Amino acid sequence: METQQQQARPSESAHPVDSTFPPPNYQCRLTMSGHSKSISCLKFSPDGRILATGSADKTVRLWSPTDGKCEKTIGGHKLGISDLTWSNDNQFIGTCSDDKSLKIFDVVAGKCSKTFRGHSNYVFCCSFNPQGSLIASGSFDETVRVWDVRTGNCIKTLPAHADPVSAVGFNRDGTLICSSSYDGLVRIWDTANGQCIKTLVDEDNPPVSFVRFSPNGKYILSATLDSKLKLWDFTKGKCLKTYEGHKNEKYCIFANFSVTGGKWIVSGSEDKKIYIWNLQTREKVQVLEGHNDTVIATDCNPTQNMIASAGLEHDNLIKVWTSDT
Amino acid sequence: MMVESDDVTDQNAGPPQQLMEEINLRGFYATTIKFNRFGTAAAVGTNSGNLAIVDYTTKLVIMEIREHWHPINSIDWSFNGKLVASSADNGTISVYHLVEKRTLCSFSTHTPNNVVLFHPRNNNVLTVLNFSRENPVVSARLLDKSDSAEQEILYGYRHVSDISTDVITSISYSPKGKYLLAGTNKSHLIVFDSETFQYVKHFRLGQSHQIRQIYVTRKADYMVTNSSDRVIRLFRMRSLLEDAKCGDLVPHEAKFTDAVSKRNYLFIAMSHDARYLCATEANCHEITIWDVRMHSVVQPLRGKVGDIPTDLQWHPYRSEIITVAKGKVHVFGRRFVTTMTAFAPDFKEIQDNVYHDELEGEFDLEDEDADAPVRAPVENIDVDVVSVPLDEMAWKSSDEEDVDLYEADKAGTAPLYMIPASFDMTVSDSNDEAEGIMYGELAAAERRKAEDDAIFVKPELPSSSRSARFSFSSQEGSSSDVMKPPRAKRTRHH
Repeated sequence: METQQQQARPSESAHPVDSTFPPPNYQCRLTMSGHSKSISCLKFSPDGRILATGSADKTVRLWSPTDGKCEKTIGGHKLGISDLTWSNDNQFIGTCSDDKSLKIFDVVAGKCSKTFRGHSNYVFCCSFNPQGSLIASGSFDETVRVWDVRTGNCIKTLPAHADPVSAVGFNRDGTLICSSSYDGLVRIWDTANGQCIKTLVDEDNPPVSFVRFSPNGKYILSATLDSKLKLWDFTKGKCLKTYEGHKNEKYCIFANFSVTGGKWIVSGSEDKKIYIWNLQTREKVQVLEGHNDTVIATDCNPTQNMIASAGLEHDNLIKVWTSDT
Repeated sequence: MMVESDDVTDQNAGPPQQLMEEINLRGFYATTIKFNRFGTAAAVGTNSGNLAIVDYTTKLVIMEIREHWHPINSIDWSFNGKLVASSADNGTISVYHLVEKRTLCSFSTHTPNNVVLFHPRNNNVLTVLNFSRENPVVSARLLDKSDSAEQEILYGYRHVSDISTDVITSISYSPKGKYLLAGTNKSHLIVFDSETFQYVKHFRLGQSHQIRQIYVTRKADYMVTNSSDRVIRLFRMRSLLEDAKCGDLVPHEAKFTDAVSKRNYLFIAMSHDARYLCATEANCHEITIWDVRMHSVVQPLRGKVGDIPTDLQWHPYRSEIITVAKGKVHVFGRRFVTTMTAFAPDFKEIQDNVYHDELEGEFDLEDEDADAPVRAPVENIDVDVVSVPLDEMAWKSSDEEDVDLYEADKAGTAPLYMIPASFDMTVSDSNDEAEGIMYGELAAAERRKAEDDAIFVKPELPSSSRSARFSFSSQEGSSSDVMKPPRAKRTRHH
């Protein structure tokens, strides 16, 4: 039983950060299956009531995390889906696919509302802005495109990287876009004028497979294909924390901040487990087992201590875990 | 992309330099515009009576409010950013709640040309100016239990002999809302207490000219007036409110005028740091900017020839000015300069050529003489990833409590600094027939579009890139147009 001792060290925030939170005790409550091909992404809606999964079988399925029923199956893409994103009003899901297009689906009607064409290669990642008026997408054609949701037009094309773009995300007020790529760089862009504000590079530059902003938009979590997760202060360009112990060398595995209870970093791994680290002390606090293949996607419920995870082809299961802390 | 050296001046220092863009209003003809106090959204009043809310970060219209049926001539936002008050040419005034998406209240003054102002701190008090009436300034308390015409509170000033025949031509609140300032057509400035709605005192600002507009700054305590004698006067609020005695002629601290051509300035505004003052002209789309500290004129901004601005706003904390001219909204800003260090952090720009002395082991593949790299251990400092203190926001007002916006958002008490977009998206694309079909019928649709799908038929491609094994040294067998060969880089360690 590890006890976390905290020395009297000046904390960065105004509020004292409690790092003596009891470790989580996530247990698997539900196991769901239904997709015919491997699942690629999994996201909770902002109100935490629906779990959406996207898969290589070209469909999006909506599940209820309380009873595990599949509420809807929505199709429309011509090739497998790589990423999906919820709008803040819980009404629309944006998806991106290998058919080089993005689509917006209306959750209630179950139909596609808009299609965005313009990328010249697989679209790999997408993200709604907090206002719900833009979608940013990253693609294998090495660009990040920003689309106007209302008209369907591409309003900006950012010459972001020199290799496929693996992740895009908006910060809390939608003024910045972060993008990561296999060229080893994480770049931050200003949404209003499309200019690059910062590039984050560490000493060696292994391909960056995932990036996202922290809930308050001040820090960036990046995952690299040398099995490391790093927390950056992007204004200073310094890496503050590194999380290790999992295996991530092939796939673009999602990583999350869990802030509903104790502050954790959650990520899947290629050794079929889910790793949870204490955000401050960087120690592994729990390792969840149960999947039979690489855990490619995990997501934390925004309203309660719940994690959902999905495995690749040989497993193809969606598991919901809950904890007390 | 202009590239300059690293020590370029801060983006926000200095006045706007050029016309950047026009905001696409999707066919609306704009008449007036107002920023909310956070600078994240602008409310645009149009000729048709629609109110369009434009999100300033993306410059897209995110909400359209249909409150009036006549052109809108005045708009104001409440302190918490949730209410928008607008007045139309036929005299109706209405207040709209942006989150609940409903009209809070609506009434008519039956006289056109009203100016509406929210109290800067109290979201419930709305003040209306209409100089053609007996009592030109009227305040109304919203959310009153009596749902008939809101309690109208009149400001009496005619009892004071000096100003009994004056007509109030412009109003403004003092920065924290303690006083309501009213400018008259005889160059008097009347001060009312905004809580008791009573007359407090009055001053003379000049020799019998009409005060067209009063602009109050948040910092540096200035009050700027634009008058019909074509002079813009700058006063210190403290000297007005505390030092001067009632009825006195208050001397201005500075005055700005065009001595040469006696330009008639229509609208004025100041930058957030109260350093620059700008004014629009009556004849052309040119904005004159003065540096208040140096008393000098800065490079003017020129818009399109032929338009005359009908409104002017300076952004609450950015160096950007927006004007409304001929129905379009123009944004003036500073040129953005891209530095190469944004793209590569270890790139250093130098001004002159430098003789580079090569170190002994600089170009060796393996430097035998170098010491082992000493990596300083990274201190483990606690990191706060959740809280968003209000203190750090650029639009923070000096008397706002120190609040954590993340917690306030969850509780619903935060001010509305980010307005969610709302538009009708039920119309699906007409191009793709397969769109409206549920999953079960997809096979039939695909058969119909078989010839279009031929471009997607490729040998041996993974069905979804994320779930397939994408090894960095890509497969040679796949079509070359899909994946570019990887650049020769360091190999992945196994």
